[in-house]
Amino acid sequence: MIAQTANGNGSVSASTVYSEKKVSTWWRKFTKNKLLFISSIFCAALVFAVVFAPLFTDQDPNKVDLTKRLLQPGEDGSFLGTDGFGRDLFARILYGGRTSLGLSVCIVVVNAAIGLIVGTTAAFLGGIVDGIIMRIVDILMAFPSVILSLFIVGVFGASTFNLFISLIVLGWIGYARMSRSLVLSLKEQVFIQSSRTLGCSKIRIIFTHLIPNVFPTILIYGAMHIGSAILSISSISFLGLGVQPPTAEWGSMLSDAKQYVSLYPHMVIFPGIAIAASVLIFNIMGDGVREFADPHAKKIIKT
Amino acid sequence: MKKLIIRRLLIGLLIMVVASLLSFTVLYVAPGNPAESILRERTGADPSYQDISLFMSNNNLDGNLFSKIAQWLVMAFRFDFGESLYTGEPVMAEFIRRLWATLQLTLISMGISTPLAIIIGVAAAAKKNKIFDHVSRILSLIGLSIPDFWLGLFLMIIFSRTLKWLPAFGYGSAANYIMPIITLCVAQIASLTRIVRATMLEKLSEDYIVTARGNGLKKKMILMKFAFRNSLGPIVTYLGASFGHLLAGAVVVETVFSWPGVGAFLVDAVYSRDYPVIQGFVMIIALFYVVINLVTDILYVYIDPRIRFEKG
Repeated sequence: MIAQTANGNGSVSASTVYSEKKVSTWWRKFTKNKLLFISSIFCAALVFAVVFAPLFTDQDPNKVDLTKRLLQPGEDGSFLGTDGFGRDLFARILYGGRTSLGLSVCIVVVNAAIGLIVGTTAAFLGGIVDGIIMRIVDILMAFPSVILSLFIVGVFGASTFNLFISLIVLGWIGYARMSRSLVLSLKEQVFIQSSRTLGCSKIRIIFTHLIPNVFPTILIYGAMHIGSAILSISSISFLGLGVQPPTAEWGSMLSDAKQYVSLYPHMVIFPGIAIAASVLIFNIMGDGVREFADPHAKKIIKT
Repeated sequence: MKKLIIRRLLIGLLIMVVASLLSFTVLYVAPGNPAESILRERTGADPSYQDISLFMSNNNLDGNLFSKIAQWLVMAFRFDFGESLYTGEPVMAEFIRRLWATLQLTLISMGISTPLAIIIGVAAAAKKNKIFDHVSRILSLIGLSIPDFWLGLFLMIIFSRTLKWLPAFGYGSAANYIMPIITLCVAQIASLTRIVRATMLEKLSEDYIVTARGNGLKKKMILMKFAFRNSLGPIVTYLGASFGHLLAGAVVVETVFSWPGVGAFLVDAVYSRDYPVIQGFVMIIALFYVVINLVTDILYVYIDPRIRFEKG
């Protein structure tokens, strides 16, 4: 698209010809990767629907109306029915997506940032710092994340903020391990050694040379983990220990719906489809991004 | 090899000590007073100040930090975590009673999902980019994307509500096992299939496979004796890790199906802030992890002779 507008202008400078070519091959490669292309479209649609939720429904997701309790889908002008408090299910799913998707993206970004900085620093400084950080990583890895999240939430109380913290305590480890292994091989390359010889400070080397080089791989790894972040958030919320009512969130909606499972299954089915579909879209997109970025990246990411 | 195992044991011990200190100090700085909430739950009214201090001294909730840490460490190393604040039962006894229910679910699911996933994964890798590979890839992505708690509820809607074939809740008869096990198996099969396929493809692209092909060995022989045999290491490592995932999955599945296992026990304890139970649980899970990791490491040494001859 960018290429087309540049053509339309008529006069193009040498540098834009180059970038135009780059963009158009990039675009061709992108559309050729069908899984990535289709999932990106779905993902864009999902994000659009969630961000501009008021365009799709005029219902307030938190408005309690006991005269409209437990409507079936399609009944009384309600698209997907209502829940036990008479709140519109479709509106709650759309607005709940803001919580689920927004929170999971935040968690992935924070985890990636912490992991990137810690892993890069550990690998670059080496020695005792590296040893201590890697031992901490070893110990933290000894816990299954859901159990540790439950522990943290159980001790500090159930709230969205504590859920966020509990998913960060263990979440950064994967990113740290990966950036560490990338930097270990990067560190021996000539450009790092020459910047050292030129007298660059350690902090400068870490932030201007190492992190930008590691960043793309971390980005791909992060893209692959948005789906699993959505799943963790919703399963802890499902247990009643994450996002608290009345805030709409897919997992906590299912937790409310559990008691109606035998009589009003629509309350269970629709939020579940929302979770499964969005996690699937993000998982396929993650796979696609990995293949798109670098066929060789597979090996690095797995470790 | 001995060195490796001793090193692992030391790290395991370190993990246990850190886990124990962590679970203790975190509880100490936690906001709110458990005595107050438990008494309120029991009597239904706001407890008086005398009641709270009596309850605290009865359950050793007062006293200074150092004496408590010392007390806790002694308890932790004897694996005696005191009594549940809520029911008054010893934590360990209750845990052991419930452990069998959880282990049944985890072990049966593992027994079903492992061979299935290995067969599917190997077949998919052998037929890379054929229809079987694409279908299994898409199905495993779908399996990974379905939240387990929702799958449980969904199965309940289909088999208990609509078809009336299986009981929705309960524990004991064979029919009760079907839905929880299916729920646990789906995600497990999906992720293991992906691991098996990826590892097999990686091994199949190595030089010794090309040599074996060049020597005219049979395809089946190359697949099983060369590629699969060499993929076993990563697969076993993953299986060890996934045992922990299954335990964690059991927390959710037990809540959905009201299964009387340790997972449901933990969730109840978290709701009521039953500190001895939560602490004990963290320690026992850490121990499980340490033991499983150790077993995986030893197995790995047996599977891969190269490690046996390495130094350290």
